[in-house]
Amino acid sequence: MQKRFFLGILIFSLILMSVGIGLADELAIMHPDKKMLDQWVRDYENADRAEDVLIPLRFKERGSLSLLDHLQYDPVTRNQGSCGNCWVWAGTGVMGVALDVEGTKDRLSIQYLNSCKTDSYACCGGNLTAFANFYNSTKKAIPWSNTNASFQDANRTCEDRHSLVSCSSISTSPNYPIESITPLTITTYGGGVSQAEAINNIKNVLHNNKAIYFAFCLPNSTAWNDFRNFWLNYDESAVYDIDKFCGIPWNDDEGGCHAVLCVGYNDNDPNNSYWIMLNSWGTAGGRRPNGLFRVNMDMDYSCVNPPYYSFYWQTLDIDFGEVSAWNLCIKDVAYPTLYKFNLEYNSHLIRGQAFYPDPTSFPAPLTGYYDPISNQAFFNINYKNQHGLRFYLVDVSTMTGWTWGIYHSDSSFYDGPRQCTLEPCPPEEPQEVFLERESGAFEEEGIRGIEDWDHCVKDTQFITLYGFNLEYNSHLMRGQAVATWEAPLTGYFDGWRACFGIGYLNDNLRFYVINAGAMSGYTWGIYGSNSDFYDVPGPCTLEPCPSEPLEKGEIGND
Amino acid sequence: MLFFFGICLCYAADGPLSGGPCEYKKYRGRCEIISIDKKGLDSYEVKFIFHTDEEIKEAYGKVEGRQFLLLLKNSSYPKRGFLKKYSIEVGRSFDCYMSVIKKGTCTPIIFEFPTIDLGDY
Repeated sequence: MQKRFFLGILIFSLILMSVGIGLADELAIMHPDKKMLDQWVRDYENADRAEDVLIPLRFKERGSLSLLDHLQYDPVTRNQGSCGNCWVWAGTGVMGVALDVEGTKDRLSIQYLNSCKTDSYACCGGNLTAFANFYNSTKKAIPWSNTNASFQDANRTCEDRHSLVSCSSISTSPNYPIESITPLTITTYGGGVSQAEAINNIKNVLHNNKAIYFAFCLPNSTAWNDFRNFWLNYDESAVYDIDKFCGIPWNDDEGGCHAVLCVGYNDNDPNNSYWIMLNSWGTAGGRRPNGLFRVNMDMDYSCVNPPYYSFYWQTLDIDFGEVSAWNLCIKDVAYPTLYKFNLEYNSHLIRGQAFYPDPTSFPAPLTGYYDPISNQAFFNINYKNQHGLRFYLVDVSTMTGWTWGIYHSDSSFYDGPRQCTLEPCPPEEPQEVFLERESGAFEEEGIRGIEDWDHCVKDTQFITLYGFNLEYNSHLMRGQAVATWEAPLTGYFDGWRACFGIGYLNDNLRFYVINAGAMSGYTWGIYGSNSDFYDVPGPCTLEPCPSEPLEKGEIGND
Repeated sequence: MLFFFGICLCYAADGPLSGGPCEYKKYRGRCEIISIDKKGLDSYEVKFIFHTDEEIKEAYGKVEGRQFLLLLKNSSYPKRGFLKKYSIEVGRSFDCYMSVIKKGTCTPIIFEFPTIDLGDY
């Protein structure tokens, strides 16, 4: 069937060639020589099929699914502008979702490919094979926040022939190693594939937690103007009837293809079933605040604008390489009396471990927390740094593009940010978290279960609380703050007080405390600090916890 | 001729080439700053609306009154120093162009500010 289709295309091409139909010179850069064409045919015919590679999953006949939460993006700045590199945005989206599914959420660079792809300029168009070829050669994905890695070609055009940003100016450290990246074609047409089979094949890819590169081709200006009007003048709940132009012959001068990211579907209502597509055209002046549009699921998947098929569904099979968890260190030598510091980076949660010449005297890991209000991460260690403190950081690869520095506070003042040095970590693994108490010492390793979230501290006194200490007789406890940024915290006991660093505005904060039983007999209290002063300890109330710690995003009952 | 021969086969081979060259039509007008809100530590969300005396011929391009965001060339939000340098304040208007796409699959509406260097960061 496919071979017959190729043959049909070939014959149709020759007929059109004979009548002298051509394309504009401006498109010349997009067109390959015969050798490359032959290679493309072989690539297509030999391409892995998603149905052969992915696990066939069972899912309800009707339902909904969205992978959008797996993608780190900003709808406003997800905007290609006048650069025709939609294929890079869609391909990078597939890669970003895959990265998060593997446990690392980060926004990946578009500019890296725009600047470093040497055979043709990304603004002149491309496809998923070209995308995969690039990353198979570079073997790394770059965080958007790396130096010069944010998208800067929005005002460039194909005619510019090259990026505004040189490849060498983009920092590739840190990066996400890629062992291999392979396009997978989702079978949606040819060989008697029914609409139900096409839908099932697409859904199965989504249920395998893979986003989809969806390229759709519209045959002429009338069709494109129709879609542009839909994009600009309808809201995100409207569904685009994308197959309304099926059968209309392709117009070489006016037709075009656009790649977007399919992140989910909803077919709960059989009369209003749709795919969820993420575009790279910004937010349409606020009309589409999430950058999304919907496409009718009940469509003709074998749609043809003669002589071309119209809709192409693909995904990527990506094998990310190993990233050493403890892969960079910060060594601070500037503050011999360091009590407290913040690290700036773009991650939600990191862990660190303080190194000390005598590990037994300072063996505990730290947990830093990211505060989206101030865009800072905070540690609170309460410790005198007399020997060149080192912090071994987990997931540092997600913290790129930010100034590494220490905001230092010694008792009652804050210094400005200072640079500290990054250096390789020692080979040994970081120590596990000590949480359980045994015979007065902390010998067992491991994180205790949620049943240990047995007491709560509800603070109502410090409405602008930034940092606090809890007095008790435990070495280490965890807590969970309930506000707009729910995340676990780890406090650390320094021999006198336990310290948390939270860096956030406290709107009726609660802390769910592990092992509170071991902390009895001490005064519960909060030492609050607000920017540049410390308050005296204030009381807070202990009250029952919810049955389990809250998930990020949930708000507790008051 | 070889060129056309190519585009047919490339569709069948790898899926279509998506994206590519785009053409726009420019409309001259004024962009009025209607709000400036803090976004992040030192970044600001600057919203503007476009006014023009020209007749916008493209039906999909009639977006007068729609609120768009002023972004820098590196896709970031402007900082305080930038706003101060270019006197960007609520109520002020700047010469600007709205470009409406005529051909291609790029972003349909884009803006240019000839008196503001959006690469000045």
